[in-house]
Amino acid sequence: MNGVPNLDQHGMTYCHSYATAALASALMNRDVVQGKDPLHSKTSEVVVSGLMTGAAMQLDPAYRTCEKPEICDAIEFLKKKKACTADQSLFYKTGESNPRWIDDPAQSITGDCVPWERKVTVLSELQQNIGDTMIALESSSWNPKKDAQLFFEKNFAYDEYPLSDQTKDKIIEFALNFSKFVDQGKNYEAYAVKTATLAPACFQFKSSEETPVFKGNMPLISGTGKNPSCRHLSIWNSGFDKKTGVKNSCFREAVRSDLKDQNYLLKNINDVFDQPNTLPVGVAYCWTFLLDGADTPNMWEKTVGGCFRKGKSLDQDKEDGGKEVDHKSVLIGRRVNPTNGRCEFLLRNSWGNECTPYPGTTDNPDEFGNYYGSCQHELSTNGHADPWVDADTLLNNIISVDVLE
Amino acid sequence: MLSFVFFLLFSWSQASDIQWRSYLVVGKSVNFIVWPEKRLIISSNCKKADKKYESLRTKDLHCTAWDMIHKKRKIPDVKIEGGQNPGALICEALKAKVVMGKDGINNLSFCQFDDQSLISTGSLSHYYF
Repeated sequence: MNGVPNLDQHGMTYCHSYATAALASALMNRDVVQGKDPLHSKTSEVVVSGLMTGAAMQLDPAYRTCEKPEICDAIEFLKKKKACTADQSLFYKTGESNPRWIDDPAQSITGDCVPWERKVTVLSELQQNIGDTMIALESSSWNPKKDAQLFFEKNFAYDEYPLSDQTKDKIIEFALNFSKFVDQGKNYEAYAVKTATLAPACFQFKSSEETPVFKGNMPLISGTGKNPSCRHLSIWNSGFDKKTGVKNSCFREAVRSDLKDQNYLLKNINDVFDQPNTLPVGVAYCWTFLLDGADTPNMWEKTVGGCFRKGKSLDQDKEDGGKEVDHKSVLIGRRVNPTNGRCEFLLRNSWGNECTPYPGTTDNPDEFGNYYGSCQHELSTNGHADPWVDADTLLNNIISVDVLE
Repeated sequence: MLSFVFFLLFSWSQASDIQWRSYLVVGKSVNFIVWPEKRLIISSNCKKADKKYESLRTKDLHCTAWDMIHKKRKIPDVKIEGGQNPGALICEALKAKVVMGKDGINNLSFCQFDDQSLISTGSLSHYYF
């Protein structure tokens, strides 16, 4: 996880995108260390796929099918992270020796690069479809408009925008600024969240044999390549297929298997950490133990749709004002606690690089459930505020596991 | 490693465990009091000017951010979804503004009050949640 930042999702509901961005960033960094192409475009698919998990529940099916190719074109450009210089005002179609214009936006996603001028044009087209884009924004999260505004504020607003409202121009400029972030390859968070903002408009991604494959419920990659039966959407919300007619049996079966057996989940985690040069593991879980403490009796039942109070159904709990405490983060390390001999995982949350919210003391960082102490120890030694979490506590609260292969 | 170097460059420890540390907040460097014992990361403008860090006590803190901690307000239940940072929602419930800070490559959100005092959202979580 060297070079992968601790992020802070603050008021945004993108826990899934932050977790996925951490996974993707770790993948990119590992490839760089190993001297490989950092797989930006492939990673972006991973990020996009993770982002979709939260959007799925409210997603308008029309936006799954790339019915707005110019929007998809812009997104594809952003995903590709390639731009021609101004004098290369051509699309280079993959596999062709002579570059030529590709006037059909729907085809442009097959180009190797997109000139800046074209990008502006593309975004102008996007602007013409801003109504659709706004719908995409509205579909992208639980509180999409608020999320979008928060993201503006967080990344661009103070330097460049007054923030009071979201105009169409702002969204276009936002996209342009975002592309700069992507070009710089620095801000994975912007990469992730911006993609989240636009991605619901373009839910269909090309298949690739080389695309990293997720196992578990975070990914929504289409065309994973390895399993033909998984070439379409994988949806986090089990009710999604009924709403949309989209079916993806292989994904949902995997989730059901996960939920049956905590040992199965643990095995999936351990299988990753048993490997050299390991990547993080994404986990969906009920998060209250992180603030209430490890000794607090577990009050949650779990389903793929979230966490709900024992003795109630998910719907009953929501009707009764239950909290939505499902969360996603990544596990970035494993150890045997040197004091009590218990198995623990190092948790990378998305609540900022500080330990203050977690329970515990600085006295004995290795004490059971001392999230604050173990986090402070990590912060002072590694610069990252990550608590060590007891494996049993985690498994009591875990919903599912996401593994990047 | 880079973060650690950054830490050494921009902070220094006191006889007690109180430190001060700079974060980039909205593009500007802002000094903060980092007080692990109190679970507090609060802007240095909350400290009385004549008080030194090494002898700092909570009674030496005067600002809205600190008031929100030691004179805890009654706030409506915060509705958390999608793994939102609880402290950020508490900040909003306190009618204040969430702003982002940078700590090397890392992020950290703060709650900013009208008097420009700031407190980390994690500190708010600790005291309110």
